[in-house]
Amino acid sequence: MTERDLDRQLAGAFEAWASFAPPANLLARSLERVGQTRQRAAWRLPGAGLRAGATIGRVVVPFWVMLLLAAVLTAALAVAGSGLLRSTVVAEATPMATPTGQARSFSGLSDYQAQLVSDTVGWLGAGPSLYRTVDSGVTWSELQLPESKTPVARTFVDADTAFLAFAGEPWRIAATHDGGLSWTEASLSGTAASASMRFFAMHSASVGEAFLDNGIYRTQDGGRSWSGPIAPQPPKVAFFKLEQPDAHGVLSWSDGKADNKPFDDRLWLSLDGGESWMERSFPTDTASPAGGLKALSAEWMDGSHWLIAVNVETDAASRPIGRTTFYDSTDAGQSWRYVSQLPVNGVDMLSQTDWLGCATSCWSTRDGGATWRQTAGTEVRGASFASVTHAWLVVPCGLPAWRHIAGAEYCDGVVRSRLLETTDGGRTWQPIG
Amino acid sequence: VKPVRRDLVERARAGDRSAFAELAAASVGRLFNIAQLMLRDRDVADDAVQETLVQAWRDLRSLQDLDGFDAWLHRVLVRCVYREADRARRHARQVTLLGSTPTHPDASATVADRDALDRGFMRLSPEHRAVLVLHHYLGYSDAEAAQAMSVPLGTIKSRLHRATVALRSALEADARGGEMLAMESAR
Repeated sequence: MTERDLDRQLAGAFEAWASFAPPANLLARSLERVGQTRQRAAWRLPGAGLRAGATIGRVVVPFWVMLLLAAVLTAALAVAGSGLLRSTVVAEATPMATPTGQARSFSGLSDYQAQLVSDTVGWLGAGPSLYRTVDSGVTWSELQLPESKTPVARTFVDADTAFLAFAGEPWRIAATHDGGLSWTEASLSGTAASASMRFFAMHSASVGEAFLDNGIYRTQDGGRSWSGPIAPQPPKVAFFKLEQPDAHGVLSWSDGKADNKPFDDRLWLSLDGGESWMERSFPTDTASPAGGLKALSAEWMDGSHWLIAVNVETDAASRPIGRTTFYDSTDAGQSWRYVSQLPVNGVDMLSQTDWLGCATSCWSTRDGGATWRQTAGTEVRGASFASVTHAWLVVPCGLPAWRHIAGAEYCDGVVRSRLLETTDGGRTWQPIG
Repeated sequence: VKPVRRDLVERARAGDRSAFAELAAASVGRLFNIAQLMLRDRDVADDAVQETLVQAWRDLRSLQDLDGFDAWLHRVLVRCVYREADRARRHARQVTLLGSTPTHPDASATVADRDALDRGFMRLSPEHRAVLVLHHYLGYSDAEAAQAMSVPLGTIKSRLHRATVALRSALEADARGGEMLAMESAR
């Protein structure tokens, strides 16, 4: 093969390999993190590089001074951090003043996270602030928090329970179980300030997992303490992909092989935060073909009766499929029966019978997949559904891609974001907050 | 690479988050493609792009040349790709091959050729993969690639040569049916 042949092949391969779109919510997740990040002051380095030192404004700092400062800072951090590397409660619950609700608009904020957790109660996190409503957004109370910095992640469980994760050395997670009146805070042992959080999911008021670079941390007492890290390594796995735990706390691994071989349809499940794993097989049939890439997008378990939603991403030849297929089992996942199918990537199971999923449109069922109803004509990514009909959606009006969803009706005149509510499953939306 | 609007960069540099969001929206697809090519792993590429956008926002005030935003962003991306590749290696994760099948027929290469190329490419170091992507996918000149990778021009030339030689060796080994090298040792 000549060098020109190789160049041509490589260019052709790159074009083909790069033809896949980025994950749908990559931009939103990135911007959420950007919203929690402050810009650094400009440091202007002279042309000779670091050896000459740096200028901050008009002050020239010699390089040896920078080195000395860095050494002193490192030593100070090491001393300060040495006593903190334990998973313990670092702050007991402290009752705060009862907040007073008031009408409030959030349209001037560029990034915030809002979640409806019941027909009346919702939480809204914006930067270092946290708000709660008990009348579906008519009035809001700003809560007093145990830390003044912006949390890296927030998880809202129900009307009374919320968790906030703060980066640091070690990382800390604050929890409230009384609607934000009081907070407990516990640390995650061995976590570095530079660590990144891959997911943080509470699937009940007491049990949940935080997955950082060094493994999975788990709480079973509502955030008073966190055990871990557990290195997530089920045995005999050549390639794996850890899914975020679903609403019921099941961790799953979709398992396959490298080198472009078909995936082998194995499914690993953990019900105890990664301590132990069950090996099962994904259902395989024409709806969910053998050898394709699959992920468990939702599940419901009651003893040996399991319902699962399988997100079938590709077929065995890596061609994209993009649909979700539902199966049930009466022998705890040893065998499967096809139930239903939707042209969406992943669904939410709100209960045994109420499921919904969105792609280019939204679909919901209230009878366990026997009948489906198209509830919204357009994609509503990021909506938080308290039921199949009632949801909130934060629309970032600053992003052109979202304007077709919210339309001029909601975004005109709104520079940054608009919080919308639907009570008819996404057919119509009303601005709140 | 489509030039981004200078006024957006200026507003974002002054702290306007909505302006940065527009810049990010215009860049995220391209960044993801580049990261995916360099890392050959959608999840790790996802992390790299997130980190790139966060670091770009954080350090945007240090950008002097407003018209050079794209090149600067690519430099940030390459740094983040290296870091994510290193992190993935430390976690002993193997690289996924999602989306490696061509979606359109390509007369210049059969599927078998493409698979062999994929395997060979996977064995290269992140630095070698990066220089090949910058050169063959983005069409960067040696000088532009050197700037994006923050290395001298001479280094980029030798790195490109070594990457090509390494890829050719890998393809020849593959053609001979030589034993598959473990990716970790190849890195």
